Amino acid sequence: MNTPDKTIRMLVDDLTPTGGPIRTGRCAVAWLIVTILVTAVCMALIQPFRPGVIEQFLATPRFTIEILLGLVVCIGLAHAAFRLGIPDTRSPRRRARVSLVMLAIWLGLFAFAILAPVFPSSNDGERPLCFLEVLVYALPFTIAGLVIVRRWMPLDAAGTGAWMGFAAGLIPAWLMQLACMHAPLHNLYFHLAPTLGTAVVGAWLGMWLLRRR
Amino acid sequence: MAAAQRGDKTAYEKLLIEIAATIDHYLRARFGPAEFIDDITQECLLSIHKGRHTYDAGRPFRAWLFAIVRHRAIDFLRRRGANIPAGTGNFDADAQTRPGTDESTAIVEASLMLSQLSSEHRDVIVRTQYFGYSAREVGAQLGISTAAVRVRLHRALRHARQLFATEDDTQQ
Repeated sequence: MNTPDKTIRMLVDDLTPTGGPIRTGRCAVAWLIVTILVTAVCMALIQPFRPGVIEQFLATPRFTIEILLGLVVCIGLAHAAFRLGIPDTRSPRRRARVSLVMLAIWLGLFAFAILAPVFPSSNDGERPLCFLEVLVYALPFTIAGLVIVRRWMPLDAAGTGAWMGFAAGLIPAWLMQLACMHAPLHNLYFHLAPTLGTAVVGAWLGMWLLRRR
Repeated sequence: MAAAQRGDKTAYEKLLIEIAATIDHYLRARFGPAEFIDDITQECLLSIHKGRHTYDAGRPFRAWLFAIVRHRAIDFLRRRGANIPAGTGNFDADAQTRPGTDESTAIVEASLMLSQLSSEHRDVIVRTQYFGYSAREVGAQLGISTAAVRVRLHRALRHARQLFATEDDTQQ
């Protein structure tokens, strides 16, 4: 009996039934809902959301689109990050193609808002450490997401970590649109740019948490 | 695989035998009659067993299987590249001289894959993976630092992985 045959015999003897298929979409949505709720509560406890934000959301279609598109991007990228726990020959970028296009459109809206603001920029609701808040809120949820994915089979530890960190960073960045001052450049520099940092931290955490056990 | 997930040992054994043959063929087509094929096949089988709960019967099995095989093969080569003593070639040199055999076909296919890499990437893969030189030795041979060799090897393996992915996508 050669080595692969021995291995096969051993693996067959060790076979036990597994549960049903893993629902990555459900896990991603559950993670996203918890992340949004906890982050929103923490943000509100530190400092109330921007005054008049609900009126702005209801009365300004462009702002409404920005918020809703941001939510779609968060959902798509969270799902893409969780999908990385399941082996697949398609690259993460290819799997998250639609979400990445949405992200590009979302960023495009902010860039366009620099030229043609949705409403006049103001310092109402300014949060002095908003960029730091994005980094801090993303961290526990990056770890939580990686702990969930760890039970599956993430093949690319750093890549999965980076996607998870990016998805976790986008949620507070998205909420900052409602909580912090409204100014397109401020939004890009202080809310969205830190998501690159959360992706790097996520990659490092991924290498640490998802290393082959 | 769906039957195996329910605990059907007969179906699982049949599946693993077929998978082992597929992996063996896949690896030989890329690396030729290298001595490490059995080791990689074994690692792949263990990974498949450990990760069998992640397979979803509603999705393509090949994509799931080959993602595991490719990553395990690259992991193995990386580890091996770091540990192998110098001068112990992996390929059966005689096989390269026997035209018309499976081995010679495999060598041609592996060469075709290598030919798609840049000369720098090809060179560093051949020296570290085929001839078993350490990064330091390759650095001395090429007149570059050890770190530069490692970076170049990392990029070369990444490129090779992308080539595998393109091939798999084409096959599907």
